[in-house]
Amino acid sequence: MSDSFELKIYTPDGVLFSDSAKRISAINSLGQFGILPGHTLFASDIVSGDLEVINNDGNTISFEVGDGLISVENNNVTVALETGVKL
Amino acid sequence: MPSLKEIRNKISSVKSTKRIMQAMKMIATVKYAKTQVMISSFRPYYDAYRKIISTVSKMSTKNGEKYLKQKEGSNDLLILISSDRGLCGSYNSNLFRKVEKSEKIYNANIFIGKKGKDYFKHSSMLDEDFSFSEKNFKEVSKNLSPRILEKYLNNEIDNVYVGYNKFISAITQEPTVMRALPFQIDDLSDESSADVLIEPDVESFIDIVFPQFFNLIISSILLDSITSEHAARTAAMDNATRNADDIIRETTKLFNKTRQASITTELMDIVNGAEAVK
Repeated sequence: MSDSFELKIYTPDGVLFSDSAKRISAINSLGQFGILPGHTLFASDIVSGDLEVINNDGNTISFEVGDGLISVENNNVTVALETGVKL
Repeated sequence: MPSLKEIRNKISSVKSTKRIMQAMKMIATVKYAKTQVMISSFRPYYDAYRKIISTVSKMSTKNGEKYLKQKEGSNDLLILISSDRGLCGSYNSNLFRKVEKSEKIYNANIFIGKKGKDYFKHSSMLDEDFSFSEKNFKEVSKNLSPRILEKYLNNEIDNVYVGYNKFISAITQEPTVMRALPFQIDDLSDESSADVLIEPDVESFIDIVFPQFFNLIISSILLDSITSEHAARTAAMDNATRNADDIIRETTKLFNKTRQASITTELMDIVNGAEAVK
């Protein structure tokens, strides 16, 4: 199993992030959650707040995001957000 | 034959009109370039949403059915998106013709853009007129879409159609009437939806995400329309500038001919006069 996944974060103003990553954590209507490589098929909403990505080099990249959703499919994670700003 | 002065006036008036049209063309070109960039960043976002919605809509859910199942009634709403200003070629007229040609009866209308309202003269379902630009289309959609959705979910309307100019390229814009509710969703994902784990749970997910998706459909249509409008205006003003050039060329020719004719007449008068005093 690979130790990373392909992550793409889209907003209406363009692509916010497109690279492989080791972990992503965000907030949905149930609370905070995280995705690791090899996650099963998954879809969820995202509510506005913080979103954190740990990239392949182990660095944490933080974003301030608006509402949106996330899906995981074959180690590809797609996030679509109404707004998103890199902190 | 018109006098030299009349011709000179005509040339200068066409020249000044041409300058205005050239300026309008330049403004439309700049706006068009801007909205085209916006479309190319918006589309991947929209597609990402659509793909997830497509997976979820394959599941049979109580909440999903409200957005997906065709209702029996034919109490239909048309949202017509036209421009606020003219001078954009056949942008509005082609769309109006398309709507009229379908001969479909809409029980309610919402007009975005002045031209559509002026043309059809129907009253708006929401007693309000909407205008938008590339700067505020997201806000307009956010204001409008929950209000339409509410009426749809309360069964006040059965279908929601949107008439707009679909942006295809700088020279092609296609007048389109599309059903926005119930959703028309192409099957985009190859995954079997049964295996997808959904948080919080499918029904709540739909309640949260489907209204967002409706808002997204409307914003994407508004962005398409405004891009088409700027493209249409660029083309129309380009044509107008070229026509003005033709008129200037023809009129200048006429001006020279007339001037030559008057010089010839004067010369003949002088020669005749000289002959007479001999």
